[in-house]
Amino acid sequence: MADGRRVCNASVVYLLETIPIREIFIGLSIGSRLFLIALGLSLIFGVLGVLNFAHGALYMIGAFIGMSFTTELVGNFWIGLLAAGLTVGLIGVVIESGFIRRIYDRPKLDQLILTFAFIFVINELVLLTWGTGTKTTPTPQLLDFDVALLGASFTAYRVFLILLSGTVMITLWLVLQRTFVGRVVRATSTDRDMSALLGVNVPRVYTGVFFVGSALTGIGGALAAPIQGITPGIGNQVIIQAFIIVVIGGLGSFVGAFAGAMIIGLINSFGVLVIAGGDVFLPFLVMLLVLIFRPTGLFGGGS
Amino acid sequence: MSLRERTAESVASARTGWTKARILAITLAFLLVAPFVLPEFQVFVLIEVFVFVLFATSFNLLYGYTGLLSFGHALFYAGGAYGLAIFLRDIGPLLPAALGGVSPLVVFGFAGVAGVIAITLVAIPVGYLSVQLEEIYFAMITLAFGMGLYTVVLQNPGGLTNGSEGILVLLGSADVLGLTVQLGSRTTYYYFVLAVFLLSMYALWRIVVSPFGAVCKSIRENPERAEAIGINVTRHQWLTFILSAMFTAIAGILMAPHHNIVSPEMAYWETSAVAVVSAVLGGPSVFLGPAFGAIAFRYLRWIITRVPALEAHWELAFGILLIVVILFLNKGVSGGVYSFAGWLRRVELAYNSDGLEGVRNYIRESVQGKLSAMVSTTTRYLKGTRIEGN
Amino acid sequence: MMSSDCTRNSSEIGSQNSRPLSSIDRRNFLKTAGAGLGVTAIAGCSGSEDGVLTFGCPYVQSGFAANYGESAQFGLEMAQEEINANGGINGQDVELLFRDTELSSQTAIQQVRSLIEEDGADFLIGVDSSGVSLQLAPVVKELQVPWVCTHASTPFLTVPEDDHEQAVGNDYTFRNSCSLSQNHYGAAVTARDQTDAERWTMIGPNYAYGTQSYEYFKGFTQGMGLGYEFLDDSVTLPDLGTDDFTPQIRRVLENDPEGVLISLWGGDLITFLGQAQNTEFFDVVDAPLMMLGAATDVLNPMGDTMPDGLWAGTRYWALPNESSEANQTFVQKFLDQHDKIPSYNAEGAYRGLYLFKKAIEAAGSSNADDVVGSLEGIQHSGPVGEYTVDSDSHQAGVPSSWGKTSYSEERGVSVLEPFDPVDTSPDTLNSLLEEGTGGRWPAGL
Repeated sequence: MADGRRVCNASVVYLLETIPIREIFIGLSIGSRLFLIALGLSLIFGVLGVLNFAHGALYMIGAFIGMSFTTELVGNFWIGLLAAGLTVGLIGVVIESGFIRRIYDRPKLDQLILTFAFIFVINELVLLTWGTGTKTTPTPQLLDFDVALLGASFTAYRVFLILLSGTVMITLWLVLQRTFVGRVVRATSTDRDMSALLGVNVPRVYTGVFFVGSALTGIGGALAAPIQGITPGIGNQVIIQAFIIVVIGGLGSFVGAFAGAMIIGLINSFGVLVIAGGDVFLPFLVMLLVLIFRPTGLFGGGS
Repeated sequence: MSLRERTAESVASARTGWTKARILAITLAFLLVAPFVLPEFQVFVLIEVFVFVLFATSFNLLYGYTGLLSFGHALFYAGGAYGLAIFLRDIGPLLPAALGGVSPLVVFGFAGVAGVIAITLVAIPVGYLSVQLEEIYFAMITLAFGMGLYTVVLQNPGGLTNGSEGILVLLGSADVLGLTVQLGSRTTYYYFVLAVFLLSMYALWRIVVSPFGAVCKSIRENPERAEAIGINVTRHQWLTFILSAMFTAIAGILMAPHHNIVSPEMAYWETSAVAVVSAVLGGPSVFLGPAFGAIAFRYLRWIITRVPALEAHWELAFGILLIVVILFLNKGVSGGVYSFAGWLRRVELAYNSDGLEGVRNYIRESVQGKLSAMVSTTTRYLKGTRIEGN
Repeated sequence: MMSSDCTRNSSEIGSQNSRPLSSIDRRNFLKTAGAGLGVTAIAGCSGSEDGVLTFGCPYVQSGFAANYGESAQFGLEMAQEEINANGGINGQDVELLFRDTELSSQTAIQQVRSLIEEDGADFLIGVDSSGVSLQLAPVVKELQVPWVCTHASTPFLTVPEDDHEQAVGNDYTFRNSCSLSQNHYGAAVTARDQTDAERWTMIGPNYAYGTQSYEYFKGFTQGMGLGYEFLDDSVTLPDLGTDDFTPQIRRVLENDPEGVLISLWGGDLITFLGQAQNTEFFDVVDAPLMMLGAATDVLNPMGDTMPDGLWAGTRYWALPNESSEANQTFVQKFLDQHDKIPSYNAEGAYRGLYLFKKAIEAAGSSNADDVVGSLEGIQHSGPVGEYTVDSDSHQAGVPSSWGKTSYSEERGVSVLEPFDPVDTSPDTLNSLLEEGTGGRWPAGL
């Protein structure tokens, strides 16, 4: 027993010494997971001006599809990731072109309520498709090892999440800034009527953006599957976090979504050490402060 | 509604005798006798409906009349209810028994007033900070304030809110003029809520039709112009915010004894969404719009509970119903109700001039017209429409 | 569907139970007034009828906890089928009406009032959350309908309302499932007998269950005089539905605990276990004690990823070493029908209906007060074993199930090996808690 205690103490001392690096790493990995969801939300809002309440529900579908492909259908996580992105993207297209488009001429709030109604429908459809209870997903074998970094050890999967979110961020930025498609999207988000006059097929851009935004959150859900239990309620939890992120970062700003996600990740990681329950109310406090002192968000006002 | 339609409507209502005053009188008469003609549970639901209608209408004072969408009205709804519950629990027993038999009634009255005052004090700074922002940013800051209360209530600071278990709110009985009145009994409480509800609605209506309300509407239509003609827009929105919060608090206060409890979920964002959905569903541009929305919202859910097959999948049923209403009633439920009422009036006119034959002709014509309109709408819908300006 | 129910149910309108109606009998008034409105036509369709006993079953059927409602429904439908096939209760068939509480007390109250006032439910079986149960108790008392709670575990539900500030126990409220105090007595005994840990802390959900879990564990160990040191500073209460517990795990480990009481449940516990295995949690903590780690809603999804050799509790264990015949039959039938081991919630609901059957038959009628009378002090047995319902507290004396996780190749899930249920008399528990908490926390037994 005495030996055991010594080993314990040693590991705890070791652990305490490395806290900052670890906290930062964990915070970034939480932020990375949230980033894709917030990015999709921000993209759709930036271009269409619609705050998509069903975004969390779409995230949940992505998680379930990722889980299904990994554990039952094909046994491959990466195909699951792809399938989640495609399927959720297509569901987004149905919601946009089948429903929201019908009421673009109505006040924005009607569109918000419409997406709110979809939460109910999707919740039930997920229950009917995958049943009740929690589902688990194994970590993909390729990433099922630990990485030693700066004297601490991290799971490769979390390292992958951080790298992936950085890659997505850079890719999207390049697409928007350097390609024709990117120019069209930016033009449409700046002035829809003018773009239409200049020959942009606005409905197609909208549908495309809804596809990409939904696909991103679907992939976000599938990425979350290996590190958490998946239940038919995870959408409601994530949507509020995504709102907070895009508000902190600036609605419609991609850099903002990235910064916001990382800030929330770090608050999650450090908050609980600073004060019990800090992870719960600190995000709201930060959002409040941002809204009071810089209402358009840290990176708001054009992106 | 265009001016021409409106004129035609009022001419029609004058000719048939179905004036607004008459409809209002009939509704009031029904509400007065409701506890004696409705089944017990319907009385229970009706009290909830009063509360939701008041909640949605108060919310709409801000949204419909100044264009500010609050996603945090649960703060005031739950806040008022918690104010009442905490007062009843902690201060009620300290009040002197010298009041005699009426003391429970007096304590309840004090507690309600305390709840409203507390919320007013909260709404002053919260409103001040919030109205500095516009549109979606306003929605988000109010969401943050609302969820702030939710997390505080859940953390149970100093044992004040009793955390997730909430606080029981049970009304005792009072002796009034020698009669023992069970304050919490359904019939008694029904009339109490009805009275407060009608007074509050009347007050809200007076606010809306007053010069103050006119200024509100001018802000909603064109804030820049309002500012230009000398209205302090922010200050005016701030005042409206406080008024809206006070009436919302009354709604929360009325609900607490009805459900016997206050609980953290009253402060959750989904509670705020009830008011938002009701207002949008009903049609925020008319005073009674949110009322129709709240009524539809509550009874839709109730109808689903009556059908076990739907109840087993109520989320699906409810979501689809909501989608259908939003897509097909573009002026909200109230728009649908008003146009149906107009149709009934025209049926009556047809009867007055041509008897049953006239009614039959009119119905045939209008149904055929509606059907062909529906067919063309559906065709357009299936083909996909061009996006029009918003 | 609806209209046929109406004709069937309207035969005995407005006569059941002793609830006071107003001077005019509204239901008859309606009937004679003619159901002009669609609303009243549907609403008038209520009241119990001859030959059918109606049980209102409010459980959570949507959202992240929908599995609890579903498994309760499986258990209840199984019992209903068996009972109706064998002549019903006193010759009356059992009818079950399920309603979704959405895990919300406001909704639960609406649903229960509707079940009783609109559908004429004679009895209630439910509900899933402690908060909901506490807020439902006064409603049940007002409506005077006997209620057997089969899942919610707060001790205050079965403490008579005058005995404690927070208590809500009343004549009509009973519980046949394992309560929080029984469960945590089991935890304390397991901590004492199976671990050497002296320095304890906890991680649990951020609501009443979480905080009470800690207090009762503390209370029982102090009552037993175990002299544990409690690291209050590292007690961690994450919100329900937290998706990353890694930061919380760091906080729990901050003060080098030897034992950690883990009272997370369901999906949260699964998420926690997955993430804890990627940290040094299990290297640092000698004795992780999972209050609900052996619940099937955790074991089934975890499969072979459930860590072996951990002490885990549940409120009923389907596969004890020595299984009674009743239990074997129940488990086998459940496996055949649903292809999984019955959860404690399924067993509680199944046994709840049989408990009502025995009480109603003993009372010889379905009169609410007679049934309450025979439920008090009743001796009953079901899959969980034999037990007595205390006549004062209305809590069933059921054991707390504890055991060590061990993966079973044959079943594809972890089972409890060894399985070591903890059972004792209510008196022992009461006096231990009195000793350990000075009466602050009642046992409710």
